[in-house]
Amino acid sequence: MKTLPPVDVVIIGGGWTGLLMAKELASRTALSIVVLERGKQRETADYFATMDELDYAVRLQMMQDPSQETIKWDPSVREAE
Amino acid sequence: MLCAMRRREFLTLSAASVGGMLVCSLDRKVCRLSAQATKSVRIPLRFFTESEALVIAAAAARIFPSDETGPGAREAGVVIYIDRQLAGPWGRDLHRYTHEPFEDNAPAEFGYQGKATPQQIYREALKKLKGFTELTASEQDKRLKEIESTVFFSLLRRNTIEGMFCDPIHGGNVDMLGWQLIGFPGPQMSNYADVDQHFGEAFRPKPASLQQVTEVNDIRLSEDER
Repeated sequence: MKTLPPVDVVIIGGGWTGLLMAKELASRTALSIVVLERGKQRETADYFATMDELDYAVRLQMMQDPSQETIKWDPSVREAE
Repeated sequence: MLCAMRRREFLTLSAASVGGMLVCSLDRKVCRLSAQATKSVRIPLRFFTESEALVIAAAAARIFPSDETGPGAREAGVVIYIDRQLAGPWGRDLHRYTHEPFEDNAPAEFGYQGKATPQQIYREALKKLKGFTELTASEQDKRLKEIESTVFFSLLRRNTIEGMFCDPIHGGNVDMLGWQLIGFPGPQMSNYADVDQHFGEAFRPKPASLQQVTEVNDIRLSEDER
């Protein structure tokens, strides 16, 4: 297992929330921050004009390959609440 | 490799039946045909046999008919879209989680949980739709009603809608007919300049496809060429 140098803050997931928190923390504090994002490397070109709603949203190519790891959710959890 | 070895099936359509103009993204070439100059169009098929394609074209045309409100599945090339999708990764369930347990009667909110791929579902169902093209429109409707609750029909219905309204890069929505029907302008990157120009008035731009908007001209490789 690879060990990375310790940092003050680890943000898991570089989505809207994660990236905003990282930006705010970086601009307002002196903390060292690492954002962890899984999946393959994506460039701007992957988001601009290469895929449409059918590819990205309907066929789920925006996500991790669902053949490796299926979408998981348990409706009974909400019912139990 | 097997794919390339297969004898190519063609779908022959009269140019009149697909409307006046046709833009087809076939064999990675976009061509424009006019009914005046061309009597018929021979379109190479990637998954369907010609008779299968004709059945799917007829069924899609009942799901999304051409009528006085405008063109339908036939003119928009929905059968070509479905052919390409089935030949591609989606048709072979390349990106679907296909481990046991399989459950054919799972609740609808779980989505399809069965084992068969879209290719298998279409091929199996098409065996039972022989002679479909010879039926009258109302007989076709009756036949489709009988299979309305099957997985095949729900796929066909979904694929027909996709083929009507997807970006033309996928082979359907020919000439952006579907978008013209509903007034969808296409994937516009920005309407910034139009706001001032058309302020206070109804603004219905002519739709532009992904390729037109981005001016990217390299056509996406088809699945068998990747």
